Amino acid sequence: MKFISLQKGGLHRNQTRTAWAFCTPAFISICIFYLFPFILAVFYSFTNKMLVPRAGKTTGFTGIQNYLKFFMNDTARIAFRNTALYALMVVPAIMLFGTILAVFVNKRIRGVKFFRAVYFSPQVVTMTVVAVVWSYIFSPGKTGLLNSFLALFGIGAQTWLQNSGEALFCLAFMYVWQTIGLEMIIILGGLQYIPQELYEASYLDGCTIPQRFFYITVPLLRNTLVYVLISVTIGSLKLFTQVYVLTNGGPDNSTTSVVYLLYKAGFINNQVGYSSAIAVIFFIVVFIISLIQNHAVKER
Amino acid sequence: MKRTILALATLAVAAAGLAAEGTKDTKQEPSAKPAGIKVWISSGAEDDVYRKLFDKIGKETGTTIKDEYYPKDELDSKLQVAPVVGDVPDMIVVDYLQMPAYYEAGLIAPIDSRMPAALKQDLIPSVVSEATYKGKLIATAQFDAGMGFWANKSMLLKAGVRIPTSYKNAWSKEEFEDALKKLKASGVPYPIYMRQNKPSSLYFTFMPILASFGGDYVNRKTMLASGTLDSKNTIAAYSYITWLLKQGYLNGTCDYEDAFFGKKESALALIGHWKYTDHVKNLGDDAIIIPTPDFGHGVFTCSGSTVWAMTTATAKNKTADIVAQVIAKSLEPENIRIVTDFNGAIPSRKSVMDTVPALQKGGRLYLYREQLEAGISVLRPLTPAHMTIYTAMEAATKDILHGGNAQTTLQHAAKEIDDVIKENGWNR
Repeated sequence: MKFISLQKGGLHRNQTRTAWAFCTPAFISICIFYLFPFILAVFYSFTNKMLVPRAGKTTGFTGIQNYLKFFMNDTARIAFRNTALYALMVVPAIMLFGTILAVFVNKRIRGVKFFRAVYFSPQVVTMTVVAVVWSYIFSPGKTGLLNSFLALFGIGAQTWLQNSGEALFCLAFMYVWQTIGLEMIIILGGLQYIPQELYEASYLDGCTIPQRFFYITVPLLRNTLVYVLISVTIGSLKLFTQVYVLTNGGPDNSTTSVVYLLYKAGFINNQVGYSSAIAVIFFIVVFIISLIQNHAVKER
Repeated sequence: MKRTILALATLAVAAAGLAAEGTKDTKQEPSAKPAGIKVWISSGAEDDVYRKLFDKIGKETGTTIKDEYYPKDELDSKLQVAPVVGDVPDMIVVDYLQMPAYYEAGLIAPIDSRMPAALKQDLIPSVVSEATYKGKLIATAQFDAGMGFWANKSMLLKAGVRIPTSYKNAWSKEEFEDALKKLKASGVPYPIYMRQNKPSSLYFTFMPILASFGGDYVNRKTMLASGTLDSKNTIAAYSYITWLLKQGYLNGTCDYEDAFFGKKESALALIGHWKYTDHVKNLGDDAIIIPTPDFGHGVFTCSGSTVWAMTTATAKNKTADIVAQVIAKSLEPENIRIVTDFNGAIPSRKSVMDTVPALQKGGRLYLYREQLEAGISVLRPLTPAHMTIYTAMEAATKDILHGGNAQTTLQHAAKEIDDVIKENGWNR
C-alpha cells in the first residue's frame, strides 16, 4: 500500500527526512573540510593573501594577477609537464600489472593468500617511510643497493635521484610498487564477482585463455577498472610526498610537481594567494581529466 | 522506546551542563600563584638538557615552566597560526634565522630595556649580531656556533701538509690546492668532505668559503639576491665545488654522514662544532680544527645559533617579568655551561669562555674562540625571506653538487628569490 502514497520524486516524506538525516553528518563534514576551504581558496586566489602577513598589513584584491603569474611562470609549466609525465608512467603500469597480479592471485591454489598479503603489504606503510627506504635502494654510490645489484650484470653505477633524467622515473617506480597491491585487491574483488558459469561455458565453446580474458574478464571488469583508472589518475596527479621527502623538486626542477609547487608557494614563500590560484587551476585540470576519462570509458 | 531515549538525552544534557558549571567554578577560583609560562622549543639533540635546565630554572625562580618540544618545521607551522588560534607561547627557543619572520608578524617583543648593559657587554659580538634585528635586541643566546675545517692530523702529517693553527696563518688558495693534491697522492680517496649528503647544511657551512671568494647570498643593503648571488665572486665560489668534484677531491655520490670520522675517506671536513663528539670519539687526538683557507678576500668563519626570545603574548598574559627572569637565568654561567658542555658549542659570554679549558690557547677548540673574538664571523641574512632563500639555495647547491652549471643555477636562483622578496615586500 505504501507504494500508492509515494510523492513526486518517488520517496515518501518520512523516507526523504530519514535520507537527509543519514546524509547530514557526511554533508556537514564535506562542507567544512572540502567545500568551504575550496570556496576560500577561490576567493584567496584573487588576493595577495600571505600565510604570515606583516603586522598591520592587510590582504588586498589583486584581480587575476596570480593566474597571470602562473601562466607566465616557467617552473609552473615544468611542474605541469612533470606531473603529466609521472601520471603517464604510473597509471598504465598500475592498470596493467594490477590486473595481471589480480588474475594470478584469483586462482584457487595453495599459498595464494600469502602472495596476496605480500603484494598488498607495501600499502600498509606510509609513503614517507617508503620514500626513506627507497632512498637507500637508490643510493648513488657504487655500494648503493640497486647499483650493487646492477653491477652483477656489468651495469655501471647510476646516480638515480641525483640525475635529472632518472629521478622522475624513480619516483614513479616507487609509487607503482607501493600502490599496485591495493589496486590488485580492488580488481580482485571485481574478478570474484564474475560468474564462474561464464568461464565454464567458454571452456565448452573451446575459448583460448586470451579470448577468455578479453571477451569475459575485461568487459565484466569494466566498472572496477573505470574506478581504478580514475582513482589512480587522481592519486598520481597529487604527487607530493616522495618529492618532499626525497628530491625537493630537483635535480634541476625535474621532479617539481604541481602540488609541490603549490606547497612551496604557500608554505615556503608565504604566498597563499598564488598558492590558491595554483590549487584552483589544478582542480579544474583534474576535473576535466576525470570527465574525459568518464566519458571515454562510458558504456555505449 | 522513544520516551526512554528522550529521558536519557535529557539526562545527558543536564549532566553536561552541570559538568560545565563545575568547570566554570573551578576556573573562577582566584589563584594566588602566577600561572607560569609556556615555552615552545625547536626540538634537537639538546632536548633532555633543556628539560633539566627548565626544571632547574623553574625551581630557582619559583615559576612553573611548561616546556614543549616540536620538530623545527612543525614549530614553525604552529607559530605561524598561533596568533589566529590564540595559542601563543610566552617564550620560544628557536633558530635565529626564523626570528625576522616572527618579528615582522608581530610575535616577538624586543628585550633591549630588560638586558643589563654589563651583560650585553659580556656577550660575544656574533651573538649580539644574530640577536639584533632592525636595530633592536629581540633575543639572546646561550652559545654560538664554531666553524672551520675538522682535519685528520695523521693524514695531513703523512701527506706532508702544513697544519695552520690560527686564522692568521690559514692556507692560501694555492696552498690549499697543493694540500688536496698531496692528500690525494698519499692515498686519501676524497681529501675533502663538505656534507654533500645534506646539501641544505651548506647554506651555513659554505659561508666562510663564499665570503672568502667575495660572494654572498644577498646584498645586505637592498636585501635582494640579484647582483650578489649571481655575481662573479659567488659564481666563482660555487664553481669551485664543481672543480673539486672534477679533480676527484670531493665525492659527489656520497650519501653518508661518516665519510670523515667513520669511513675515513676524507682528511678535511667542512662542518661545525656540533660534530665534536663524533669526531673526537672516533678519531681521538687526530681530530683537530683548522681555519678555512683564504681564497682572496680574507679568512672567515660563520656563526649563528639557537636563540631565546620573548613573545608579545607576555603583555596580555602579564608574564613579561617572569620570561625576562628566565632569560636572565639562562645566561648565568652555570646554566650556559650545562648546555655547552653537552653540545660542544661556544659559550655566548666572554667570561664563560674563560672557564672552558678547550677554549684556552692551545686547547682543541681555541680556534673557534679566536675567530669569533676577532670578528671575522659572517651571518646568514637576517630577513623574513629566510625560508625562500634557504630553499632556493638548498636546490641550487644540490644541483651544482650533482653536476649543474654554477652560473646558470645561481642566476635562476637569484631571480626566483627576488621575485618572491619583491612581491612580499620583504626588502622594504
